[in-house]
Amino acid sequence: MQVKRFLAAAASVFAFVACQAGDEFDDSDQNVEGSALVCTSPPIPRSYVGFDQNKLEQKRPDEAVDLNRARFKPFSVMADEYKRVLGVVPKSLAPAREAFGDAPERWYAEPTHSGVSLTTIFNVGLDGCTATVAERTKAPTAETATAFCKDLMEKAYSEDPTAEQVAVCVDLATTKLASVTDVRSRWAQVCASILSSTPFLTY
Amino acid sequence: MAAPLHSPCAMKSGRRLLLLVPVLAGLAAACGSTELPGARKKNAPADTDRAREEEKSGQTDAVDPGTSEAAKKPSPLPPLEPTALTKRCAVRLSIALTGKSPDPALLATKEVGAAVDKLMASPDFAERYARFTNAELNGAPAAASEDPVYFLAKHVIANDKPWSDLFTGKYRLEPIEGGMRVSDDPSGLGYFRSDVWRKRYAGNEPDGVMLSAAFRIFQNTTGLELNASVGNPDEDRTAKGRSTGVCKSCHFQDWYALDTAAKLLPTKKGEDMEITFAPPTAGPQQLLGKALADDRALVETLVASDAWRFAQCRNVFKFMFGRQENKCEAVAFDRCVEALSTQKTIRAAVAALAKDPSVCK
Repeated sequence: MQVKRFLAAAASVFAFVACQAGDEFDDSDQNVEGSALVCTSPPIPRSYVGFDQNKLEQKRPDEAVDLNRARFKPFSVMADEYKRVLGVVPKSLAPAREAFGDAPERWYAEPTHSGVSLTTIFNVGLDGCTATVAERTKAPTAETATAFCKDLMEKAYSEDPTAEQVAVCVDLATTKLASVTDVRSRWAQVCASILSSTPFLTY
Repeated sequence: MAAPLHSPCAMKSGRRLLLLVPVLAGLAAACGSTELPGARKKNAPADTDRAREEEKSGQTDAVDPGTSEAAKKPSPLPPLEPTALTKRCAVRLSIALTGKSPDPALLATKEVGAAVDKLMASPDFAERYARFTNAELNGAPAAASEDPVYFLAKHVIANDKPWSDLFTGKYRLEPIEGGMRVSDDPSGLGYFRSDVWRKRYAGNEPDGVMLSAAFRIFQNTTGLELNASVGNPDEDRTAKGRSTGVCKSCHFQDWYALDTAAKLLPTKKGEDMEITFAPPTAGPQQLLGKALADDRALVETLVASDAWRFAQCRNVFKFMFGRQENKCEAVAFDRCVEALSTQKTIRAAVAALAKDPSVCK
């Protein structure tokens, strides 16, 4: 039950991030067709000729310049990332190595995630967050939650959070998790939801 | 560079899957290069406005490989403007280039170019790009003493050697405890003549013809993609059999004619740990538009081409973004190619892309 609630909290942040991405585009018919994602003013490329005499540049995807830039952070950086944001490295991180799809020696693999790994990530975040909110003995209010969310999001995302992102976080802390009677657990879940969201998990 | 599977081959392999006998492992007979009309329409740039205009105007794609007008007289690229470094961008650059979180000094850096220079001076960059290259050019990880691509790539990057040295450099790669030693050797040809590489891609063609190694040379240098096909149980899998029917194009006709290229390579003798190699005896082969004397001539011709430069910068994009370049990123791609062509090192090629303002968008 507890895990379900945790995941629901994380899911709300994931969903929020997805909505934010979508909000960057308007709702015109043009965008429904996906044309906003294509390269609307392609530069004139130099031409490269293959041995079959075809132009090698011709099969490039027709996408906007900054599309598909977000990549999952590799396991190799996660200890430093948790340390940078929380001030501690969660003890549960090292045993979770396989969940992050870390590459073997002398090899390289793009990290990918599954439901299992995302659950693990939430639990690792919760582990680290539990240690860092130990001093918090009062339930979140709109004021304290706003300060907490803004500060943690700024560190985790490496940029200022949007007002909408903060509002969703505050709503999670003050409303959606209101039934969590253990105050520290409630703060920890808010913290873990931020550390399970794509702005933290990607670069 | 993908060559779609010829339809009869695809049908054969689909129908008789259970009867398949692995004959030419790794590549096997990579049959077929003739594009299906449907596949051409679906995948080729005929879908784009520009391509349609070219078709209407009767323009042709035919240009001598490696000697395109663009390569001879490239139009000047717009100059790089200094770009402010945000924290988010510092994280992106640091992880992409070194696989590490940014340290406080990097976070304090104000400009993207300076940050890139700092990151690329780190040994972590050489390590990460060598790993990336190893994964791009091999099918699976190998033991440390059988990993020539990784060790030579790291040597080339760390010593700022021309990136072409990875493929044509005169080096010897020898297994040592816990890795491989790289040393100078006048008879070396990148990692292609190393014993462990030859054994790994020797294949199992009945007469010892190294088709798998031939394919790997094309794939490693130009990014050639082929879909391996399989023979029928009673099919003639000798060179004579491969020279007929749908197998003929990949093995003897296309620009990467595998059997022709393999004649420039040694022949495998024996199996498993007892493998030895006999020198090639067929003499010069007509391939890539010229008579090639040996495997060095083959690889040097490949590396001197547009296709090689293009493939290297496509890999640079995969390294930076986890995907290939798109149409909107053509200028950044061209910067990469220009840096590789003029400065020769992969460090310069990666830096040219990493400093592009679009990287931090």
